[in-house]
Amino acid sequence: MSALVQASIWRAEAVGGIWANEDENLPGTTVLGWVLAAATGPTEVGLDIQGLGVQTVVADREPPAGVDVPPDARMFSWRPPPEASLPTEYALRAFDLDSGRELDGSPVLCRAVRGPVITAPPLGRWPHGLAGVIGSADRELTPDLWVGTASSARALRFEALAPVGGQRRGVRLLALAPPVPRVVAYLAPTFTAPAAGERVTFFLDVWLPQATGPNQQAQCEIWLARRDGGSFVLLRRLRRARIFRRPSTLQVEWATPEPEPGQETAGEADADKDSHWLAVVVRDGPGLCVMAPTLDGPPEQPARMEDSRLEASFAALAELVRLHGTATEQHPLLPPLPAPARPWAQVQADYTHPFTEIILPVYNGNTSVRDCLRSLRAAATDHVRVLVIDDGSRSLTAEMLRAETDGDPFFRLHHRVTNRGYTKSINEGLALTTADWVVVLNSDTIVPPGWLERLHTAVRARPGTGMAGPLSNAATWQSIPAAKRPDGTWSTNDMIEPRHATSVQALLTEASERAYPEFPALNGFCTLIARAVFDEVGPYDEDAFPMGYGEETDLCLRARRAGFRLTVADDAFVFHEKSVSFGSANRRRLTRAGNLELSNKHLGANIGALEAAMAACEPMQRLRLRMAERLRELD
Amino acid sequence: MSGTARIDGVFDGALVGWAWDTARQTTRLHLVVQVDNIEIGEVIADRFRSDLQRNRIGDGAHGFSCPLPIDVQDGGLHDIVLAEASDFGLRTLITARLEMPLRTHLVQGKVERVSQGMLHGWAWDRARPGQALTVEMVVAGEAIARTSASRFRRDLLTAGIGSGAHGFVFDLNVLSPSPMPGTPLGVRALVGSDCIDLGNLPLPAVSSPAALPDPAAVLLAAQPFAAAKSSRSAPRAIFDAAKIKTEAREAEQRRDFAQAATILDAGLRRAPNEFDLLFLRARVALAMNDTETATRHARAALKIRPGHVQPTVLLARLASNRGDHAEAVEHWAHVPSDHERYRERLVKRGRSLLALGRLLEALGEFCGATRLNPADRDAALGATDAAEAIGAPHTARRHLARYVAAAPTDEAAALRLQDLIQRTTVTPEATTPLRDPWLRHWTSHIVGEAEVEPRRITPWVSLRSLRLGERLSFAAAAPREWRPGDLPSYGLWLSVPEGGGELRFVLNPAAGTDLCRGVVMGITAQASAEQQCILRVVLASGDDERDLTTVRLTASLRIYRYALHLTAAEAELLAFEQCALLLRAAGPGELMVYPPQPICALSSRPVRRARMEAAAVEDGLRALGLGSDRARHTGPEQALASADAVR
Repeated sequence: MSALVQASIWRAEAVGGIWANEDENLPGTTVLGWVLAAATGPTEVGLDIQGLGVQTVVADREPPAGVDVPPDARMFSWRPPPEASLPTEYALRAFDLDSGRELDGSPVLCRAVRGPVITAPPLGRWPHGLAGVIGSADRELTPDLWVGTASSARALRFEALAPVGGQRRGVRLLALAPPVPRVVAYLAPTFTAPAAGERVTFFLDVWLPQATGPNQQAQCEIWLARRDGGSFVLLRRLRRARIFRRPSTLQVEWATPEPEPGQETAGEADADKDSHWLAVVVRDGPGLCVMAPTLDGPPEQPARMEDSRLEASFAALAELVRLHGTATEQHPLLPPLPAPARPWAQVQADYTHPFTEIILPVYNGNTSVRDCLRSLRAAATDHVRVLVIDDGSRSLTAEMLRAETDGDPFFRLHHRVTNRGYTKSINEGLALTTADWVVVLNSDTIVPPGWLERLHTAVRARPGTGMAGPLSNAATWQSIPAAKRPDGTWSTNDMIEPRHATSVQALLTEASERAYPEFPALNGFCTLIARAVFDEVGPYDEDAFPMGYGEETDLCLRARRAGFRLTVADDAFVFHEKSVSFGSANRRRLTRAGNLELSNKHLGANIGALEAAMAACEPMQRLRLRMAERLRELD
Repeated sequence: MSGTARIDGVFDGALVGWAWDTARQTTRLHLVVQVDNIEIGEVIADRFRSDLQRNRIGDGAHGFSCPLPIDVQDGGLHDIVLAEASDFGLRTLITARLEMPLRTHLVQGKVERVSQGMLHGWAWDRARPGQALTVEMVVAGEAIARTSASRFRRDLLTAGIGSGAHGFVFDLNVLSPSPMPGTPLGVRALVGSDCIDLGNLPLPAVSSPAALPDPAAVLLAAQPFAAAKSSRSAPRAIFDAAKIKTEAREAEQRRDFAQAATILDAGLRRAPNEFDLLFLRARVALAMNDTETATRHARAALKIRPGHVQPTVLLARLASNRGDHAEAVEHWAHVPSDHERYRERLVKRGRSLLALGRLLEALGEFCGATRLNPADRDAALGATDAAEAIGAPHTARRHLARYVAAAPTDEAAALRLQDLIQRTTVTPEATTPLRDPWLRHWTSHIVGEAEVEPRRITPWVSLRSLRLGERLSFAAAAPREWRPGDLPSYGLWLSVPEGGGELRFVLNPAAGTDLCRGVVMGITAQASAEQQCILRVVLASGDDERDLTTVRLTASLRIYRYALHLTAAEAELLAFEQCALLLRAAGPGELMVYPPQPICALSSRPVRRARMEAAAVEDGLRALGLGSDRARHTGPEQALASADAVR
């Protein structure tokens, strides 16, 4: 602390001051300083460090007694992280960011001391944190990773990527105002540079961090770069490729040419090997995701065809047939289906009275939720339990939920204070339940007695079913009596009211021919799903669809790819009050974002063709006619 | 009332269709178009279409075409509502869901004529009427000149082409080498990375500069008397210069730049080193978008009077327009603080510095402009950009708040401010039960091994193996956002050796009140497929320990709930950071675990009504040590067993 008491005379109009602090216990220079506190919020100081670029520190400490600074000043200190690549002597300038003025005492001359070399695995040490938001200037994230972007971009969000169990790590860079002209990740190679006349082949996994356009692609270039202090010089391009939302493995050849006699090489082969970096440049995209380079390529698949491109196209086509045709298509020409985690036979054997848990995410919406809970209670059987997930609702709803569910073993209430969004809530529901069958149910529904039995009957009727959904008044292609209005918008069949749920079910019981048609996608308002589906294809995708809007279609498509069937219980009715959970502008944005992610995730899927298949379903057309007839007698 | 309407689709950036009311067959309907519930325009369905007439839709004059804003033409699906505006409000005629073709611009323009050695035309982007397009002249497939279409023309304004400032002119005399007569001169507009052809014109033979009489000679020849008189009374050059200057200024004020240029060129032939003439010529050339001439003359003027501010400003503007930021920064730096252009210098130099990536200097310029005028919007916006690019969101937020206060109608800025506020608002990290529930800041490598001696991985989290000689491997893994838009928090992948391993999370003294009232916590964990793994959650306070819950992990990711409720004695130790949550895994095995998260306050749960039977079943199951897994197919009991252990 003695070093703090420095006899300094600050100018009267100074906004802050800075000085170097040498401590015998800590090798190298620590910089200490003060700055006048901002009117609101934390005060930030910009440091321009020679060899490290611009960094920001927050001045948040009260000045200790005996330090000669103004009373409303805040103190800060800065030390380079031990691995920072600094010259032995470097200049540091400090600026108050509110006034843009340089602090008194700046620039400060600092000394860096090389610590012991800590060998970290590739991208194994993140001195500035594993995730954060940084400015657009070139910056060091780890000793073997720098990132930067075109300076017009406002800011960049970075996250370390670390898949479970994998030894490989990477980084996800997302511009906060996409698309940006250029985002670059500079990676130190994990292997030695090839000697003159030799070549190295390495592999990079690169993809886009977010979908901002339909079927989006971006130009990606791999460059050889030379590091020069805090900046990089791009030497030559090694490879160009198009990258997508899905990861692509790029195979890159790095060959060092033989030096021509009498000619100075570009300083590639003979210069300091440490100064060679690989630059991954993505142009006009939302950012980039890249994993550390590796010499091991993707596992070789036994080739079924001579031309690997032909094989890839055939695989894409086969997937398309699976998606658009019958889910369980077993054709000798098609590649065999992956074996499900638990064969259906076992699901069938367990079937007789399967225990089912209902996941009911709730976010506000008082009366409709109460009606839903009461109808569930009234339709309750021994083999059903309801998990209510309160996604941080207002206290009125939270109180109602508590009153409705308290003391009733039929309900479990998972009340959470923070709102996490629809998709995260249902995934949380999946992690909180264990039953082999779950129903993901919207909270603006009314179920008639016997609804779940009917869904299970449909599952039994069509072997191989992984997901099943009932009919409703407002559930896109599962709506009765009309799916669409004459003008082409989705019908909500307003003649059916909440109180009609039971009587419509009775009419449907008479009218249904129990064809249990197979659909390529189900509406997400009420879906019975086998846990085998989640074991096989994973949970709902909360990264791509955080707020809903597309997550159920995504799961349906993934389930069909894995060979599960999607069945409509055309003798079951669940009332759905099409409620509005987000404002119109917000919904438009979310729907758009969801559609983009869907189109990028399922490149082969033609939503129009899938809809046409659902529209052309004959048993449903006949049923709609009969129901239209019968529903006239309603009330 | 029986309106019929049809939407044919989107053609060339406009929604096309027809609307007709059979009950009022001659009425032209007044339509309101809404896209995604936002009104985007009104239009009267009165266009004649022969196909309508053929199909007996009234007299056929019921078609309409409504231009769509660029932001809905994004290639996505949009809901379109066509409504009739009548005295009784809006009456929906038709709704449709259309996939809009993707468009990034709505460029219109024309190459009009070549006259007096100048190529004239206009171009604008209807989607961005406030911006000037850049146009290029193309000869034989190669761009040879570039200018911006920003000249004001009254005829464009009256024709409804935006504000009228969309004309462009190319001076064919300065092209070198000059194209052969008859060469087609093409013009194209640049929008982003696209080029849009606007058409071409052949270069007429007369426009060759050699064929034209020297305009200056014509001018001087017309005034032989005045020139002769001046030569007698005063030094000729000075007299000429004053007169020419006045005339040129007058022409400039009339916005007759071509005339002003002719006058000045004539003067400069006589007095090539006259500062004022050079400067004026440069200014006129800039007004004519002839950047090359402007730069040449401004440089010459600056050579005569080094450091003079006016040509410096001109050169700086020219460099900014060209996108030569390094030069612009140098020129702007010479504008002193007492000059009237100082504010322009601060803002424009700041922008150029920003483009060069010299962020701190840029911020200094913008802050200087703010000191001149605290309500300066450009300065506030520039300071926001600079602060955000530096990586100082709190400062950016303060600067943007000033901008939003000065420009309350800018919705994009308001949204950006919201985003910044969300980013800078402290998430309730300070009051989470754990000191570090996010694992974002590691003091050591994010992958490694620990022995019996605790290894600290972040300041508040450590781990160790429980048996001497065995090593516990760990790695940060599986980032996930806790809430949408948050920075991700990280989980831990552990390879637990024989004898077990322990994770220690220090509890947060700031959350003392909550912890004394009780908190429902959840732990999310998963074991590898091969082995099952038992995890004990233990509260350690000083040297004391008590078990909170024991769970058997499964191969699928699950959440386990338990209550965390500190006693008074424990709360005392909490203040000294002597309380911690321990996760003890029995080995060997691999598991994935996330730091425990709070779910809700324990006290927010009302006291449960007596539930004798259920409680007995629950206790019984727990006494048997039955994990949820074995109770899986047993129906109602299962639900009870996995129900919260909270009472």
